[in-house]
Amino acid sequence: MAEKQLTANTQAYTGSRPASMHKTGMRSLFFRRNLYGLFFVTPAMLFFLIFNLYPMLNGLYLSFTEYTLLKPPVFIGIANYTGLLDNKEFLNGLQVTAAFVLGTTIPKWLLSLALALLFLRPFWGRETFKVLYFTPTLLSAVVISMVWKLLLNPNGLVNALVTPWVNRSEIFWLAHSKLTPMALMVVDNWAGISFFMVIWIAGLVGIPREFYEAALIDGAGRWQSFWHITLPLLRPTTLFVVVVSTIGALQAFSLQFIMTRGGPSNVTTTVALMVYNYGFNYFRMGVAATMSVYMFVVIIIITIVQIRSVRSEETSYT
Amino acid sequence: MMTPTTSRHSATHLVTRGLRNVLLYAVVIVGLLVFCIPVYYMATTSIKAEAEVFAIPVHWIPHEFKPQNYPEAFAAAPFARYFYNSTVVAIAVVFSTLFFSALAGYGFAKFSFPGKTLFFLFVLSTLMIPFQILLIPLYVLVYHLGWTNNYAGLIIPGALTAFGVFLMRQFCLTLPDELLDAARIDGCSEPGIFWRIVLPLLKPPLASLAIITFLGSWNNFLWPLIVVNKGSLFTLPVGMTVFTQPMRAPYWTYIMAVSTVSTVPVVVVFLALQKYFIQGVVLSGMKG
Amino acid sequence: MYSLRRSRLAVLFAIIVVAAVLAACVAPRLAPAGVRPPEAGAPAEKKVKVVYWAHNFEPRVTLDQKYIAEFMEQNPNIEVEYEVIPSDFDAKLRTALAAGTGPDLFAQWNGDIGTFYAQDAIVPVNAEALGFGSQKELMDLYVSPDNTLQGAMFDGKLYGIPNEVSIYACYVNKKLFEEAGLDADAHFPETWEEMVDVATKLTKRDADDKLVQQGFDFDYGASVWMFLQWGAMVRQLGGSELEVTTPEAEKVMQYWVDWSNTWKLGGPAYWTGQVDDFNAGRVAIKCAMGSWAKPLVEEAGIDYTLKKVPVWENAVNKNHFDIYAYFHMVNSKSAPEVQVAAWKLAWYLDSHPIDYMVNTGLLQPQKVLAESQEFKDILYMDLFLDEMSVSMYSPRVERFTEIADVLARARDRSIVEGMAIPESLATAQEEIDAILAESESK
Repeated sequence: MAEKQLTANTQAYTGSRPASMHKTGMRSLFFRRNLYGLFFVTPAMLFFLIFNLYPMLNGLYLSFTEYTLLKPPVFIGIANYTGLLDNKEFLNGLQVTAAFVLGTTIPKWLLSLALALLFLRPFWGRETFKVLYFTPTLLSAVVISMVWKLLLNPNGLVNALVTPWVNRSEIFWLAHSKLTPMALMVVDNWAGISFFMVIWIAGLVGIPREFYEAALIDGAGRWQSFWHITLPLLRPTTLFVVVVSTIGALQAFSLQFIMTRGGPSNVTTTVALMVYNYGFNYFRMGVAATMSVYMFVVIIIITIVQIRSVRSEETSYT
Repeated sequence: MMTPTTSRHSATHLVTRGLRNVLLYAVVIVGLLVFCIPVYYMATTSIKAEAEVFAIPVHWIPHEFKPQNYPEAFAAAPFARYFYNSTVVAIAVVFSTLFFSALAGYGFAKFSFPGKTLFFLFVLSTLMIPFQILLIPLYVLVYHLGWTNNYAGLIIPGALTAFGVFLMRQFCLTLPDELLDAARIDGCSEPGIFWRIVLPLLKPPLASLAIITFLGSWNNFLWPLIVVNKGSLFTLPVGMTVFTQPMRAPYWTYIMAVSTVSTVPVVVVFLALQKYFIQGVVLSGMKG
Repeated sequence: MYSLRRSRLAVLFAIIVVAAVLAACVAPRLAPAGVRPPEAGAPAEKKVKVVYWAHNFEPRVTLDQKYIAEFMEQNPNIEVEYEVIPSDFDAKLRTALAAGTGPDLFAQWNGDIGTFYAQDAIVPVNAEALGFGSQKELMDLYVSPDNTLQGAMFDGKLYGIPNEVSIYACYVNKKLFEEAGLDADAHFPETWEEMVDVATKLTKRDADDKLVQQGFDFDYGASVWMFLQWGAMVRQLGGSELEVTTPEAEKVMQYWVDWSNTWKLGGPAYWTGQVDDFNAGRVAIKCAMGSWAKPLVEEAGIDYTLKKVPVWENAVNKNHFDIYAYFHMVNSKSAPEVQVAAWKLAWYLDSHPIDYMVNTGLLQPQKVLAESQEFKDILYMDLFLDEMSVSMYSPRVERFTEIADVLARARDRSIVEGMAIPESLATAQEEIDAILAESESK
C-alpha cells in the first residue's frame, strides 16, 4: 500500500499524465466529456474565486492604499512598500520570524527523522509508543499555548524540574529577551515533531527492501546505505516535510499571539503577529496588507528554492 | 538500523544487542515523557485544587481530587453550547470539504479543459496566503452575504480547502483510466462514473481527509474569533479566551478542564480511526 | 454492472447548478469596505432601528435590558437591537466598523476614541435632541466635568456620554501590613519616594531568595496600562508620555527599572493578573484596580482599605493615575434619525446613575449621584470621585494602542533587556514622532 503511494508521489512530482483519451471516441465526444471535467471543478473554482481570490486581490489592492478601517481606502501607490523597508519594527519582525523558522524547522526535520528511524525497527510496545508520541499533534494551538503557559510559569513544572540543576531560584521563560524566543521554539518543536515523524515513517516504509539487500551484498555499511539509498528515495517525503514545516513557521502566529503577545519588548513579534496588530489594533490595514504581500512573496521564493534544491539533489544522485 | 538482522548468535552479539535494546528503550521512554508529560499534566491539573497547581514539590497526582472543576468550569461560560457549535461546524465543514474536494480533484485529474493548469496552480497558490490578509476582505464579504452571526459564517468560508482538492487530485491520478473507460463503454454517464465508481474508490483518502479536516475545523481559532459576536455561536477555542482576560489571573484548573474536554473528541476520533488517521498523514505526504 | 438511476444524477446536477448559480449571483453584490448597507437609511415612516453593542458585564447587562425595554415602550417608533459582545470587544468593534457594519450606538472605552474622532467615525452628542438647551447644560449635571468628561472632549465638543467612569486607587491588604509591623492607615506612602521603603518592608523572600510576597507592583499585562500608570506618573512631574526624551520621562522610567532590577521589588516577570495577585495575598498594595474590583476583593475575603495613588514629592500636577471611561458613542455612518434615536437611548440608560451604582457598582459621576444617600452609604466611593476631580484622561491621540505598544516596548527594553534608559526612550520617541507625524499629515 505504502509503496504504491510512494509511486504516486513520484508521479506527482514528475508531472501528471495526460487525461485519458478514449481510443474509439470521436472528437466531439471527447470534447463533451471534458466539459464534465470543467463542470466538476466549477463549484470548487467558484468557491476559491469568491473566498480566496477576491479577498486576496482586495488585500493586494489595500497594500497600495492608506486604509484606517474607519474611512474608505485611499490610494497611495507604493508608499507602504517603501515605508516598511525603513520600519525598524518590521525589520525586527523579519529577524524574529527568520530565527523562528530556523529554530523550528531544522530541529524538527532532524529529530522527527531520527524518531522515525527509531520506530522502523520492531520492538515490544512499538505501536503503543507511536500512538502516544502522536498526542501533541491532536491538541489545538489554544490548548498547546495554555498548557505551556502553565508549565513555563515562574512557579511551574518546568522550573520545578530545571532550577535545582542550574542553581537558580527561578527562571522567567516567558519574560526574558533571550529565553522567550527559544521557549516558543521548543514548544513549537514539541507540538510538531510527531506529525513529521509519522510522515517520515510512511516514506521509509515505502522504500522497497530489495534496495537494502542489494546494498548489503555490495558491502555497504549502515550509514552508506542511509546516505545513498534511504535519503535519495525519501526525496518526495523530504520535500513535503521541508516545505510544509517552513511555510508553517513563516506564518507563525498562534503561540506568539496567545503566549507572549509578541513580548517581552518585541522579541517574539513575528511578521504574522505584526500583520494582526497593524490590521486590527493600529488601524493600519494598508500597511498590514503590504506586510502580508511581502510575506507571500518570501514564502513563494523560499518554497521554489526548496523544491529546486531537493530536486536538483535528485538528479545528482540518479 | 536498516540492515536486516543476521542470524549470528555469538555471545558478544547477544551482549551488544542487549545493550542496544536498553539504549533503545531509554531513548523511547525519554521521548515518551517529553511528549506525554505536558498532556498528562493538563489532565491531572484539571482535577486538582487551584492551590495545588504550583505546589512544590510538584503534585504529580492530585492530593485533593477535585472533579467538580469540570462542572464549575462549564458553568463559568456556556461551554456545552460552545462544544455543540464546534461539533456542528466541524461536521458540516467535513462533509462539504469531502464532496467538493473529491469532485474537483477528479475533474482536475482525469479531464482536460481550457484553463485547467492555471486553475490548478491558482488552487495551490491559495495554500501560501497568510490568512491575516484575507481577514478583513473576507469579513466584509461574509457580512454582505448576511452570514455574520449565524452558522453560515462559521462554516462556508472554510467549507473547502485547497489541500483537500490537491489531495483528491493526487489520488485520482492513480486511478486506472481503463476502469473509467470501461464504465463509459457500458453507457455510464460522467456524473454516474463519479458517483458510483470514483467516490467508492476514494474512500480511504476521503476518510483521511475527513479526519484532517475535522482536526483543522475543531481547532480553528482566528476566524471564529472575528466572525461571530453572539456568545451563543462561539466555538470552543474562542470560548476558552474567557479565561485569558488581562484583568484576571488565569484560573488554571478550569482552563485545563476545558482544554481536556476540548481535546477528548479529537482523541476519540483518533483512536477510533487510527489507521485512517496515520494514513491521512501519510497521504498528505503527497502534498509537497 | 454500472446501471444508472437517472433521477439521482439529476439531483446531483441540480445541486451543482444551484450552487453555481447562487455563487455567481452573490459575487456582484460584494460591496467595498466602508459602505453602509442600504437598510440603514430606512424611510421615515418605518420604525427606526438602533443597533447597540456593549461589552459583557452581567449585572450591567441585566439592568440595560430592563431600561431598554422601558425605553422601547416609551418610544414605540424606535426598535433597539441590543447585542452583548462576550469577548474581544475591541477587535470586534474595529472589524465591524471597518466592514461598514458597525452598531449605531456602542459603549466603548476611551482608548480608541482619538482614532474614532480623527477618522470621523463618531458624532458629537446631540444635546438639543435630548432636551438640553446646550451641551454645557448636560455637562453641568456631572461632578468636575472638565476632568470626568475630558476623555470625550474634542475642540470643545463632547463626543460621548459615559456609562462607566473609572479610576485606579490603591487597594491595601491590612493583614500583610500588620505582619510587617505597619499600620495601613498611618504608614501608607503618599509619595513614590516613600513607596520604595514601605514596599521593601512588605516584601518577603524565601530561603532560595525567591520573591514570595511583594509590597507593591505596577501592572504590566496590557500595554495601554503604560498610559494609565507610567504616563500619569510622568504627567505628575509636568512631562508628557508623548515626549519621552525628557528628564521627567527618564526619571519615571528609572524608577520602574530600579523597581525591578535595583530594588528587586517585582517587575513584569512576576505579574500574573490585575486582581488576583492581590486577592491571593501575594501583593500587599495594588494600585491598578478601579471601584469595579471592590466586590471581587471582598469576595476573596481580603481585609482591605483603599488609599489614593501616590504622587511624587515635588509633583507639578497632583493627578493620580488616569481616569478612563466607557462612553456611549454614536456611529457617524448611521442615518440622522438613527443617530438621534441612539443618543436618546444612550441618555435614557445614563440618566439612572443611582440605580447603576447600587446594582452594578458602575460609577456615572453625576451630581445627583454624588449627593445621594445611596452613594454616601457605599464605602470608599467618595475616594474614587475625589481622585477623579484632580486627575485626567490619557492623551486622546489617534493610534493610542500603537503608541501604548511603543511605550511598553521601551519599558521592556530597559527592564528586561537592560538597555540604557536614554537610548531606549530615544528609540521610543522616534517611533512616537513617526506615528504622530503620519496622523497629522492627513
